[in-house]
Amino acid sequence: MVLTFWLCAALVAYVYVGYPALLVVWSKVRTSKTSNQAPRSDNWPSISIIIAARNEAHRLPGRLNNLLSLAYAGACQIIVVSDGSTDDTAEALRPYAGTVDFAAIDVAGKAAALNAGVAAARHDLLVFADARQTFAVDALSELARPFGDPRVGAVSGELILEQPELSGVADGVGLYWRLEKRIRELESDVDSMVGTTGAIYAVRRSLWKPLPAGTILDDVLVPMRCVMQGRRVVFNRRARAFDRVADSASEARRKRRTHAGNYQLLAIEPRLLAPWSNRLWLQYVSHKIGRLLVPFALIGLLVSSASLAGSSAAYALAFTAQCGFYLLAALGAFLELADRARTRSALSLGRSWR
Amino acid sequence: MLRRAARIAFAFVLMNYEAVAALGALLGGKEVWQRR
Repeated sequence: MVLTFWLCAALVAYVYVGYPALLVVWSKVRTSKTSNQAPRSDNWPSISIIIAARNEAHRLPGRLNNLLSLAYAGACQIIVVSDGSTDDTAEALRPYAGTVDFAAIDVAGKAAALNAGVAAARHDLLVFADARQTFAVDALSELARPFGDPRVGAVSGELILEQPELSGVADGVGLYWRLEKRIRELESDVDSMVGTTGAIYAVRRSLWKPLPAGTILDDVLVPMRCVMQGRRVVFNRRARAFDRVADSASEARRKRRTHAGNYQLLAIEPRLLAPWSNRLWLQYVSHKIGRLLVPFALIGLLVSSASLAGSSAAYALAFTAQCGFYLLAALGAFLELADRARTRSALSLGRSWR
Repeated sequence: MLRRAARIAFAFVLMNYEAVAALGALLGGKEVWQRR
């Protein structure tokens, strides 16, 4: 039990403190900055923007208006792929005929929709985006800029989470997301990120390989394939997309999907776990695999400290501290529920005024 | 201050323990593609 306690404690500490600290030191020793100089005015790469959508008819007009209003000096194609939508997606896109390319496939999942989108793409750079976020006006230019460096295979932008006034969990999620972004930025400085932001990333078409059916995390598989082809994946925080922090239930579903995708990647691309084929092995294991192991380590920590509490004051203190932390989290859950109830009553009050 | 700490603790627990739920969902063959 003593060994279990210390192994679990070491794992949690390494993932959340040790690894970020290691990256800070590493980035000071070895920085691989890319040139962020703009290409000559006639030399901007042409871009195909691909949006995979399922039943997003209510969001697509706003999203397309946003994309069409962006400032970009090069050629730009917008492709929307409907993944078996049963709403009015086709109808919602009718006003954009001739401006936006539209493809529809039977329900087959996001990976199949992206494959169809890339098959319809005409340009050298592929930009992937979702229906729900919006881009800053210079987002495409900022995404394209680092590709002036031929070593760069993919570029991730920054997703800025705007915090709705009444969302309680936003505080915590925002903090978690800020830590995640800092880690990605440091990884990019050292060499490459081990994943991009799904809401805003770009990749050279020459490095694209069709995604296996059912792939959950295209935003990790695509950049890691670039890395395994010898290219860099860099972060440009000036390429910005905007979203709102959702409620805790939605955030939990999103996080579950991300974790499930990380498990799935081990089956789709087992070479990621081999240090001789993945030059980012240490970063991948520390960042992605570490996050999968932390909850099991937290359970191990709680159980081992509970069973050792009678043998030493240090373990008793560790157990008490964890109990205090989980009680605090329970209070946070209660506050979140109260916030949600308040939001619901505010919304129903708003409706009754209409 | 206490409220903020409680929310951060809740988010930390939520974000981490979803990895266990994800493994369960995958092993149980549940659909996890559906977005929020």
